[in-house]
Amino acid sequence: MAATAFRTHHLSRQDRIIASVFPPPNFTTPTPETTPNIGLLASPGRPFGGFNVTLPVVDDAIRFNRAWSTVTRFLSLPIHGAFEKERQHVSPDIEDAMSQLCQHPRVRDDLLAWYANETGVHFSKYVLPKLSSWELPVPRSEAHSLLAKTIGLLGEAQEYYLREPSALLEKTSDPSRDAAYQDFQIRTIEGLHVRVRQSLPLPRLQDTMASLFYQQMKDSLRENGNPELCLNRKECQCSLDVELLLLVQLHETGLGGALGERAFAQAVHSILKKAAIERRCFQVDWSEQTTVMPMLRSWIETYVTPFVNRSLAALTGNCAPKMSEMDAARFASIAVANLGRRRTAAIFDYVKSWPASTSAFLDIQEYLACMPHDKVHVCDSFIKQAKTRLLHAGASTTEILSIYANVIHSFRLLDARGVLLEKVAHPLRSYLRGRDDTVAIIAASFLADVGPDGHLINADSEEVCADISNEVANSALNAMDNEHKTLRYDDMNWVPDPIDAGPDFKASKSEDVLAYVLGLFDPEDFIKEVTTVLAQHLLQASDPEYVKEIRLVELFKSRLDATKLQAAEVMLKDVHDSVNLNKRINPAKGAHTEPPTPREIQAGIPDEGTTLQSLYTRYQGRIKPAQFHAALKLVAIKRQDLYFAKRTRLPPETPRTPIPAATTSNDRLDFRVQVLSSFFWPQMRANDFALPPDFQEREQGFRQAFARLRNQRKLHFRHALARVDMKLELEDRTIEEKDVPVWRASVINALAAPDWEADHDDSSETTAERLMSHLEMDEELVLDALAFWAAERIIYQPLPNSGHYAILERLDMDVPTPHPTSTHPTESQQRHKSQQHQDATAGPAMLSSALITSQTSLLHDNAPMFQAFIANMLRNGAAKEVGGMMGITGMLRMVLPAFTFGEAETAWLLEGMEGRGEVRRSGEAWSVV
Amino acid sequence: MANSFGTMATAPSSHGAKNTSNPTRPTGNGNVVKRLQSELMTLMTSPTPGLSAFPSNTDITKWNATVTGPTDTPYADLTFKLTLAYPSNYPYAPPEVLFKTPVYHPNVDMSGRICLDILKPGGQGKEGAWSAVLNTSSVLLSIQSLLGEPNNASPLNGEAALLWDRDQAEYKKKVLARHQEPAEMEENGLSTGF
Repeated sequence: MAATAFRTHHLSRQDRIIASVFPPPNFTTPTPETTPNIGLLASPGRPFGGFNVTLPVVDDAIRFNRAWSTVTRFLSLPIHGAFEKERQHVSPDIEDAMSQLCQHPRVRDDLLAWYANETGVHFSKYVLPKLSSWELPVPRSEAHSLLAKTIGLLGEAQEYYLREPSALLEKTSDPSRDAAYQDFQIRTIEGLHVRVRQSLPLPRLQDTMASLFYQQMKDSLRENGNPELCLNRKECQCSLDVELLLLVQLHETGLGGALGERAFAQAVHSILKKAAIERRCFQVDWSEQTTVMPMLRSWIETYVTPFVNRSLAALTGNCAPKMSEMDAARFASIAVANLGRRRTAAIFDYVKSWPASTSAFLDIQEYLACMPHDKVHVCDSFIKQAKTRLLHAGASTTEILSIYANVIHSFRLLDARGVLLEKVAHPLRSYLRGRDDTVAIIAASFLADVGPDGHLINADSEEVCADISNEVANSALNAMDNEHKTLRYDDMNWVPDPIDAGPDFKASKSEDVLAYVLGLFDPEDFIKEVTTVLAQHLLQASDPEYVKEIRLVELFKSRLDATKLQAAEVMLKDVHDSVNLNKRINPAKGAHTEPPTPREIQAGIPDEGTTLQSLYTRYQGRIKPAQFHAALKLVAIKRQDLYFAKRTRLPPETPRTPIPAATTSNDRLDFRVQVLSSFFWPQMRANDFALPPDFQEREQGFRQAFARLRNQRKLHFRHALARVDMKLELEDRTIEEKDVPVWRASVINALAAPDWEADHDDSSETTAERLMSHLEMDEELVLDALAFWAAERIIYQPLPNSGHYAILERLDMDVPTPHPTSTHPTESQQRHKSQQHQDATAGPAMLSSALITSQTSLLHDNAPMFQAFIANMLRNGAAKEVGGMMGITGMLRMVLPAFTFGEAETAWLLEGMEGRGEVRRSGEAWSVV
Repeated sequence: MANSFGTMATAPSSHGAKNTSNPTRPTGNGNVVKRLQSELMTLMTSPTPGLSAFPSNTDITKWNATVTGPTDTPYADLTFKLTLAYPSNYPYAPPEVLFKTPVYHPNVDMSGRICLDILKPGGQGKEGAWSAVLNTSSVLLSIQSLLGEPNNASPLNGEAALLWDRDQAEYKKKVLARHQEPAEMEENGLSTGF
């Protein structure tokens, strides 16, 4: 009765409701022996009553009650002590009673339920309080001890509860009863296990077990592993292990089974996710550039799968829980996917270090082959990493471009058809399009010189992207030849269009980096920019064959619209023609006594062709006719008795000793002219000024010769573009300057020969103003020249800061000056002072190399017209702001495509107009006065 | 190279065609845009005194214009605002020109419509005198001279035609009473353009 009272006392309201429908089992305590069946009184008389009564009269119910009472008394557990009941002797009485009860399955079930209740009460009273640590989160360090304690406690309790039933089992000899008792015992254990699992917090238990397993596996990996050996053998031999005894015990105390399996699976999952693949054995193979994935698969097959089998056998008690082939394969694919994800997490770094990181991409490739759905993940990871690490103002455009080139290579490795590449390249491309200097850098990179080791020669790494230059150097001109791939039926590499491509995917015709780089921009914009860079390059090129430039133009022609490259072609032809023209107009007198080289002959052939005879007359005396014929055949083709120059590249010649240019200033001026077709070249500097006297004559001579040769066409000289090599002979030293802009020569020439200043008092000193008026030269150029020569210590200011210059004939004449250019006293120069200061620091080189009219000077030159547009716009429309879609800048760009400037320039124009009182601003809006 | 800017101005034809895909670019075919761009360039580079015109917004086929009244006429020193809308087959059809400034004139009606032969489609069987050789500048010039020399044979405003012949002083008074300078118009909430 005590048990029922105990139970009802604790019933909650909800329990009571359930109890009203499903009455709880009502267990009795065994009938105490203090009210024993005292039997019959020994009566002297005969019992009263009828005849032939069999005595004693004990009916079934009483007998059952007695048996129940006997057995339950035997089995009952002490309420007041934990495990202190001493072992009882199994008396025949008990045995009989037990065998009687076990005869009926229903009764047996009742007895089982009673015993389960008995053990349950005992368990919750004495065992459970000792396991109270499970109520709180278990620190990892205590996991092992707590689990061991739990196992010990549960094992003890289990043994205790089974002591009486097993004693019964030992006693019996009847096989039928034996089976019944065994069944009783097993079911008791099962019931106990259920109770254990119900009373402990399972998720925590599972997590603790998982973490313990994980820890043990990790430790075993560390102890058994020998990465060096594995790396050498190209096979990982690190084995996994956990304490098998622990697993067996867990199984025995009811913590194995499904719970244990889950915990174990969790641990294996974690180990495959982190510890196993992060080991040295599976690091990116930087040296051999191969993937580690096969190694990983074989490791899983040889070490992990058997280990899992072994452990599961211990944990479930099942001797051979053979994993199916598919499960084993799944382990491998999980490991591969985890390793792939790990590589993906650092994919940006791998792209950056391409091609050293090829193996990492091979790994990712394997991973994607195994998990095709993770392609999106790979792309997203890269885009995310690129956005945070690359696509911001801190990264230079050349850096982004070189990463773009790497992206193209690396993602083409991942997916040869370019679907992934399309996905990841998109953010990069749109970002690059947004950068102002991208086109210029690409164009410059195309023209940059690359050394044999792949390094740039003479190039600023901020303005030239070495990767692109290398690509250009290595790319094939005929990359577009295999355009009609689908038409080739014998193409063994043909693949159908990918199924995961976007709707706008089209198989790109040419698939190298250049195609992608060129595809960044609208071809027209690109061609425009390339033309500008090419123009500058051609004007400065020293190679008279223009090999590189020809190759480049051919490259563009093969990849871009050939018709749009007309300007570039004309430019090339111009410089070529100029070389020939110079040879014909200014044959270097008397210089040639050695035989002419084929190259020279080629240059001598006029465009309209020539006969062998007329050509030979020019080289007579220098070469024999037979030799000449052979040389001519090399460089020219014959059509109808006329020879035309071949447009092929010639083998390099040994450089001749260059003819010293302008050795003595008067007699031998090596004068070469580039004739350019103005329409096809970008706008160039047009400053005009007086040249040194000899040049004037030569120029005139050339002009006439040209008119004679070229059908009376007129030449317009661009003096600002000319460059000279010069030699200055001073009193104490001789200085040679190469490739100097001619305005500097004019200035130094004027300073050196001051006869024009005879009317002035101080004939040896000259100011910038006098030079300007004498040479009719722009102030900008004069100041540049003065700054240049002062920096070279050719001229100096006799009185510091006086603005007067004189030739520094001897170095010891120099007076230290604080700064040669910042000291111009006059008003007009004060105005330019700040601008000049920049010139002095970055100026000379910049000014001399900028042959093409800069955007700024374009703006300045056209300012009056732009301002007329603005004035008219404001007069005929409402007041407008500078920015915005309907703002002044936007309108100007719309109606005037020549206006390619931004809001800052518009504001500059407006300020100029405001200064003249043409417009006024109110707030942000501008209107006419 | 000398007239390089001239070449730049005509070269944009390809730009005009290309930019039609630009969302801010109006509908209208490339030829009209090209022609209007070159007209605008001419207007800007060789301006006629007293005349000015400019596209009103990003739609290059709608322009606003400003005309100053000719001297020695009742309209002297007055500023007139006009709008010009070019059809898609311009220059084969004339632009539609309207006075936005209220004008008292025999050939201009109350809503600013102008009766002028060159503003009507020309060609055989048509009464108008528009021809493709005319342009914005010549249209504005004609309108400017129309102010000083009304065609009283076909008036839209009969009263003005009568008054022009009879009483110039009264006429001028009426002109000034009707006229509003652009600033006044804006104050009165009238639009001066598109």
